[in-house]
Amino acid sequence: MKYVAPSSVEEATSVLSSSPSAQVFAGATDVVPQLRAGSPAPEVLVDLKKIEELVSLKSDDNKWTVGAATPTAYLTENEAFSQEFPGLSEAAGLIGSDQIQNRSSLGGNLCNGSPAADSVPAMVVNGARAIVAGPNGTRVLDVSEVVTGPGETSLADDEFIVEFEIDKMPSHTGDAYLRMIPRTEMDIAVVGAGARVTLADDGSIEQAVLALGAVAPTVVRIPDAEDALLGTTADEEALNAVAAAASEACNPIDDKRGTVAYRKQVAGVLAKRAVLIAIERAEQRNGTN
Amino acid sequence: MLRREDRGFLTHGATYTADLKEPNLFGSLHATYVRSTMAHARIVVDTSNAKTMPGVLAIYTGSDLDVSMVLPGAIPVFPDPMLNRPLLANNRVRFVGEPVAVVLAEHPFQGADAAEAVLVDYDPLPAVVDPELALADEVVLYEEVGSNLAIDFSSLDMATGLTDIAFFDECEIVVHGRVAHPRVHPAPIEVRSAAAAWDGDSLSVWISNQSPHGAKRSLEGLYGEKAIEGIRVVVGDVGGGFGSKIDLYPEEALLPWLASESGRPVRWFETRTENMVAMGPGRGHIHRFTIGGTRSGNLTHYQLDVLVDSGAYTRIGAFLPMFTLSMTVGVYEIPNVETTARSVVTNTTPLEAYRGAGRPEATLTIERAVDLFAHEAGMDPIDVRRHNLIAAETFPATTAVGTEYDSGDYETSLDLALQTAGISNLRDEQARRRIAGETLQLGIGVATYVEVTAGPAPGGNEFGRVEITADGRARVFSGSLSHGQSHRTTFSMIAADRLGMELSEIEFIQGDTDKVAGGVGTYGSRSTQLGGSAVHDAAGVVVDKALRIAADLLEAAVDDVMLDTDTGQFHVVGSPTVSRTWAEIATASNEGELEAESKENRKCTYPFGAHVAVVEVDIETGHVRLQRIVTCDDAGVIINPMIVEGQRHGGIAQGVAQALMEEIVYDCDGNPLTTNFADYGIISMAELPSFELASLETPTPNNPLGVKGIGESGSIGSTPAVQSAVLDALSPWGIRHLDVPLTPLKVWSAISAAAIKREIKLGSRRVPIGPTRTSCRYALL
Amino acid sequence: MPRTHITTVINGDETEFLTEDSTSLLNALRDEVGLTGAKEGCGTGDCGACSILVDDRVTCSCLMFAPEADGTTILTVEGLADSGELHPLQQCFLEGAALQCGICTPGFLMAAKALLDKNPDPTETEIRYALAGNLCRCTGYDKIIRAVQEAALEMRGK
Repeated sequence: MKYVAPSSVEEATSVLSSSPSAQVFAGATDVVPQLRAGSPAPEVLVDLKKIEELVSLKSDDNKWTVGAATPTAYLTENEAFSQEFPGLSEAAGLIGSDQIQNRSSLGGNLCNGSPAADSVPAMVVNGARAIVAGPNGTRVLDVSEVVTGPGETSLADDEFIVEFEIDKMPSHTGDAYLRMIPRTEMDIAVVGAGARVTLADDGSIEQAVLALGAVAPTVVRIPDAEDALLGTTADEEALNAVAAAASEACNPIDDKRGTVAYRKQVAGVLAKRAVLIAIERAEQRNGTN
Repeated sequence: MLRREDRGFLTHGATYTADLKEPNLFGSLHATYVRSTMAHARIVVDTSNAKTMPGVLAIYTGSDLDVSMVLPGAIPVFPDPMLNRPLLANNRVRFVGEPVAVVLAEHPFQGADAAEAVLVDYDPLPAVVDPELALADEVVLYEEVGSNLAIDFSSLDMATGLTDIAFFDECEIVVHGRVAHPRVHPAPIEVRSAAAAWDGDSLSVWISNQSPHGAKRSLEGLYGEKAIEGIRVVVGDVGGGFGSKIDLYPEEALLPWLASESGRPVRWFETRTENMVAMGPGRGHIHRFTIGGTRSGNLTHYQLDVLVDSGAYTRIGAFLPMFTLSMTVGVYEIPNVETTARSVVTNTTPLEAYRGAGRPEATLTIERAVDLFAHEAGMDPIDVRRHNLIAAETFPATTAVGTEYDSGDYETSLDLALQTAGISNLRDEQARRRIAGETLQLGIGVATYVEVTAGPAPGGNEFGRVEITADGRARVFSGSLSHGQSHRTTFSMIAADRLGMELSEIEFIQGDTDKVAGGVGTYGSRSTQLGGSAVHDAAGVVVDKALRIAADLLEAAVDDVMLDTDTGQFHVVGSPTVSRTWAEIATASNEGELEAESKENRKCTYPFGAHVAVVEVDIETGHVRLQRIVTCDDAGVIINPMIVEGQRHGGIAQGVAQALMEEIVYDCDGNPLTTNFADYGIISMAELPSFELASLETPTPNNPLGVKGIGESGSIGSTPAVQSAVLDALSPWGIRHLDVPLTPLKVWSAISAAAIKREIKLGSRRVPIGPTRTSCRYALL
Repeated sequence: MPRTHITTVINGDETEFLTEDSTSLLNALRDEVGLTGAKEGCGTGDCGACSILVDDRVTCSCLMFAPEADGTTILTVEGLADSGELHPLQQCFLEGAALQCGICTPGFLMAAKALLDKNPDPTETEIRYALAGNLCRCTGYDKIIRAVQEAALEMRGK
């Protein structure tokens, strides 16, 4: 394996175009264990962290821009970002230990293609977009369009994500992410649930977005649960409908971490709980912040 | 008293075997093992391509080794082919991870690349993973033996054998059940590591092991004839053992042969995944019990049937029922007891010892039995325990299985634990949450235990030596081997106390068979009581010799001379102003006069205690959070409280892990599914609360220090306490028993199933506990 | 195979070494630089025994490729004491017997330093989550947490 660290997006795409078995990486927190577990080694390892855009976190009046290789610790340590997107910040903060947090990135978490990636449901409910660079320039994808199956993405071999754009959080809106793991820390989600809720002036739910991780080959939205919440104050009936819709939306696997029945149950529980947290946060976010 | 060993650990990470910069190992080759990826198969190994790869000097398979190159079994009671493991599998593999070939390369990464290029042609055989299925002998691991049964302990007169249910005829309440103790991994953070070098006809081996002299004895069996100048085993810093590094492993035992063949030193260390599949796990028992007694709560009859999953070869783990059987009845006075125990071979990693080694299994089963009995009797499980405890005034007490407990005060330990926990407040809070129907339900569990240390009975010995240097300081040698237990501190304290010296005047030597003349090693919580007592006694003999010299110097009768251990001065009784120092005594002594050794046999001791666990169970997800763990662990006299606390803490954490999280899982074909720290998550600080420890010290008469072992107590009491707490939280659902580990999945599944089962009224006075399997539970997708 | 030339500052000293590109920074530190304080406990970033600080951030050195270290500043356990004087964390680990076999200790010290640099007054819960990426099989963690709290107290007092 040869290591290269291009300093620009153009340089990186040209390396990728010229070496068919090149692999990009950011924090390598998935790549190294995969290589150690016997995955075929690429000829060239392309380190994206020396490209300025890929390691940056900035905001303007309309949106936040997060470099795809930016360590997730930068997100959790950024007070403005974490106050605006507490759910996404917490989800990013659940990717492994502090040691991992200093290396792991939203781009890596997404493109590794694990159905259990913690930051992905939280990005999806916040409508994050991926700016993808390739030999012919850039294109924009919804984050939900990037992963097509376990370990599979819609990116071409010579493409990579430069950065994510996330529109500023509107007022009366809050997000949340919860996950279930057998341990307390340092584990892979059995179920992950992201929620984002916007409240109307009367306190009822005007908009709701829910997404589940680890219960299907890719992250899934739960339209039935979203519909069930609209116009309600998340009363017991609405929450039961959320839970039922969440369980129904699952297409999980049986493995030693969780059975199908268990994943369906927990998806319902976490979806409810995430909605309640998102509502609480939405209530605290009036128009001034 | 600060630990004396710590500075190097803190400033440069000490020197573990993989860290050695030993001149004798310059120019070492690196050994990499090729391991079986199938649980049971006939194999043909082709190394031709791999041999041509960069940096590869040689590759050997089982056919390159003389048939006598086997790792002798530690306990020679098993059929020969099960007992004596080939160093490399020859034609047949019996578990995933068994070494089938070894690569010698210049660098580890070259060895790893070449190992992948070794072609192993597998002709698969059916595998048997479940020990209960193995008993049926439908798949047999050793045709020449004809059965998977490795041993029936009744044939060794270690078990009584079971009669029938008529045994319980006079009982008013009879409860029976099946309790599984799944395999857990010791998971020392330091994986296995070793090195070997020949210098002419002398062999040196460096190894991460708990027993330097034990390793030497095993190596002498293999290389004694060639190493006519002798074998030296050096054990440096060891990054944890927990029982798994008592035995010598084939990967280690082959290194001297490789060094001999290649004419160069050879080093080896493994990856974590190799460690997870090839280092011996612990537990692996399935118990069936029946307990009977009166409606008023008298326990009168108990039967225990032990089945051990030995894995593919019968190493130490296969013999550990000896401890389970001797501790069958725990802290209770139960007059009528019957036992049986068998070990079977399966297509899994050979079982070794793990913290507690046979005693946690005995304790967990009797504690489950008592909880279930209390439920049937409609009594508080604490009351049933208290009612049946062996009374403090009856010690030494011999139990119905013939084990003689040395000393104890079981009721006081129970009271102390309960008081510290504040049991009545906890019950109030539990009731409040139940009435309110809260999502987080509280559970409270209590377990009592007694265990055996420095076992097996009747006891054992350890080598200790004390010598006074020419300048009046002391050198202390021990055959015991600290791998985290702080012998340098504790043993130096014992010697300093006896010799009246400062700790800084004591040099402590362990872990080198050329420097320490004999020894056994550190396991079974034996170190301080055997090794510490040996140092104590040897120091006492040295003091007696010094007193005779002092008497000459002071021109007094020896009986009139004393050593003031506060000042380290010898003087005539009552006349401290005229005195002699150790240096003066040393100067006046003849060469070799001021030294002594001790290796006296001493009887086992029986530490005991009580643990209280408080858990919160999320009834919607099944997630269990340990809120509190309160323990009273009595290990006799305590020499260094800080070190003893640390031993208790570590044991508690491992016991909690076994109760809630850790389990080695295989699929039906014998493929291990827990092969790294992501899939086998060992307990972290985020899963644990602060520990609450109550103190009690009941000395043992069995050694001069009055000490018992403390290394394993924590892991013996905490598992059943936590298990009982979770089941207590689930009792409103009618859930009586679940096997450990109580994972969220298992807890939620039980709650979910209970909602259906509650419809069915069970009228039986017996409580059947449904079978669960340690394997075949999950399919890999 | 051609080896890559790496220039770093390790424990205050400018350090150069040669490495294969596929080598982990952990193995480069141990085999090329001769610093064996960082340990390999798992090789997958799950145990934290290989923790070091890279540009002041705690990282599993087993998950870094050695060439990534070019131009960085690295602190390992060997650089924690200041010319023989123990760092408060080392002193408090010593006084509190916060280690037994010691193999995880270098990693804990580095992770704890990173925590206290960021959060000088962590609660017990914050410590339990911040250091959950460091596994210890001996201590049950209790005395490690006490030692980190003691060190935090002492460092705040300075």
